[in-house]
Amino acid sequence: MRRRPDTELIVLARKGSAEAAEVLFDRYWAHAWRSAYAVTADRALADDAAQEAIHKAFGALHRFDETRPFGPWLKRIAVNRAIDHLRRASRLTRLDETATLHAWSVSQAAEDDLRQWAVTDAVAALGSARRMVIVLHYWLDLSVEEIAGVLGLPVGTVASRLSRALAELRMALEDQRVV
Amino acid sequence: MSSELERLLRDARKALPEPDADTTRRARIRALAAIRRRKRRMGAAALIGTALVVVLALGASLGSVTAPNVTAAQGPSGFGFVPEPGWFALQSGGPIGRGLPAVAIAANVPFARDDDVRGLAETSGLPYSTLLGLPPEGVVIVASVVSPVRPAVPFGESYPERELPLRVRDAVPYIQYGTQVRPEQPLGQYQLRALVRGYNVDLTFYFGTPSPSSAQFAEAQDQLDRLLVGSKPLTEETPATVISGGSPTLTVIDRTYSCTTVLIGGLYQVRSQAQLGQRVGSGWVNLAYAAAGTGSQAGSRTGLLDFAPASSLAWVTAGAPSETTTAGDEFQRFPVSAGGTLGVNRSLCKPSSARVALTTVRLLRRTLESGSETFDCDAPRRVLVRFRATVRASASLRERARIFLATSAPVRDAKLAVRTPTGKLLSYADVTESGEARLFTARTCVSD
Repeated sequence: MRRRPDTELIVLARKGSAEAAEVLFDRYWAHAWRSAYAVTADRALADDAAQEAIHKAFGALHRFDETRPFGPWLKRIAVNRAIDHLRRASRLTRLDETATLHAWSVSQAAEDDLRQWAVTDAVAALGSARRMVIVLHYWLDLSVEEIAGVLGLPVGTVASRLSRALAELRMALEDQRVV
Repeated sequence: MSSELERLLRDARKALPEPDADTTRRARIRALAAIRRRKRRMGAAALIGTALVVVLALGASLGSVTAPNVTAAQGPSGFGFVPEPGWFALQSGGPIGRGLPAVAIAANVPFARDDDVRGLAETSGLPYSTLLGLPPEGVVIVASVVSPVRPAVPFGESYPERELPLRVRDAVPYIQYGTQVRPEQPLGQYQLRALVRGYNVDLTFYFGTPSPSSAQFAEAQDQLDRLLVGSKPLTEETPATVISGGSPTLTVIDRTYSCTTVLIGGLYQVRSQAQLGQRVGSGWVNLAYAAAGTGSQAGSRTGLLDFAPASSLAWVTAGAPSETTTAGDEFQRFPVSAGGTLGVNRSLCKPSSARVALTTVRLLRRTLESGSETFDCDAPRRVLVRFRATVRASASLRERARIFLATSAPVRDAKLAVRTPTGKLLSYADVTESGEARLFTARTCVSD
């Protein structure tokens, strides 16, 4: 079962195969959670958003076109849920003042890579508006147009935020001699 | 410098943490619960279907109760009847075959069980059992065509070239090979042959009486007007039902369609959904939205579609969109600027003159948790969908993405209702430009 492609697993899961659904879950859960975490920078919010996303996605498998890739679809649902949670928690504006390095935790493996640590901290230190576009673009691979759609912003605004965020990151990382 | 920074940024995603074990365990339980819930629903539906078959096999005379379930044509893809209200239609599977005859049958009485082979016309093309029991006021129309690749009869006087809609008055009394289908109680039998768009079309009209009344001929003509041959559908030729409102800047678009539902997972279903508008600052991120859909095709590579989902039957929004405003739920959003503020799927829906009440009577109001909700309603193979929208501009529906008719004009308020051909209301939804959305569905509909 674990070697089967997504399309077969989706078809089987639709028919009620718990085994297929479990394989699909194992294949994509961490990915969905990390997407939610990248957006929220908060474990509790990421937990809620990712769980909701996986529950909704699996409940809507019959509506999914199995000829399309499953991972990006789930990721997009997780991102949307995460943004909704963030908005609900009114953090989009408050994060500007409260964002700290402690909002982010990194894996043990990453601790060996000081550059990654520094970059991650620098991203966390960005204001929420700029952090969001950086995360969506560089970590979740959304295009500028897609980010505009997700955040409800003009494409030009997203592009300028991205540019300013990169400039801010560059300054911060140059100070630390990371770049 | 910038590319180095961008590379570092992309690499930094590896530093994102993993979900903890407890969260993973809870998420797994919820995911599997969603699958099991779906399976239970499918099982219940199958049980009900099996019970119905058993009841029928036992000879229970459900008559008109079950008959509507076998009415609709199997998605007339190039050839078939779109049933008039009160009519029933069957056709052979698939589009017109190469060199193979295709058959479409319409009747103003329910088909006998022998003539309905799981929703398709019996292969002989003669609904014999239905004709044997045809009441005096009954009308049956049998149409057959042959592919233009290998026409059965060369073009000529036998098949004079005609335009749609064909006319009953051009038909002539006809007894095939001298055979009266029902000699002891003769039928009125008429034949019409025509070359339509390169197809040899044979039409036979059966009336329940040997001397049909003018009302019966008129009724047959109404149904004949809805015969599709070749690739030219009814849709755009039908005049737009655009009504001018009181204000010169307002237009009311009020349309009703007969839509084909799609079989998925053993069920024909209609999906009804509504979504509250989501605002950021003074602009809309996501418009208030209501939609009726069917079948799959819901996913996309990113979840953000280029246009409305192909599984949509019809959708309405309300509010003034910006360039980046989207519509739809989190599973399938599309940019309103590309997809349109309201629209209908022209490949699944054909204009209908049936009346669909925009009412919530006998429906349950559904709470839009998290701002949106979707309900699945078991449905027959054809449903009637009506939307009525007050648009803040002069607007009409135009072709979009090949399969839709849509407009981009901002909508002030809109209503959307779905009912079965037999009159059962399945859902009602409305949206307003303040971002409000309400959804009502039949009790039997289940949260998605």
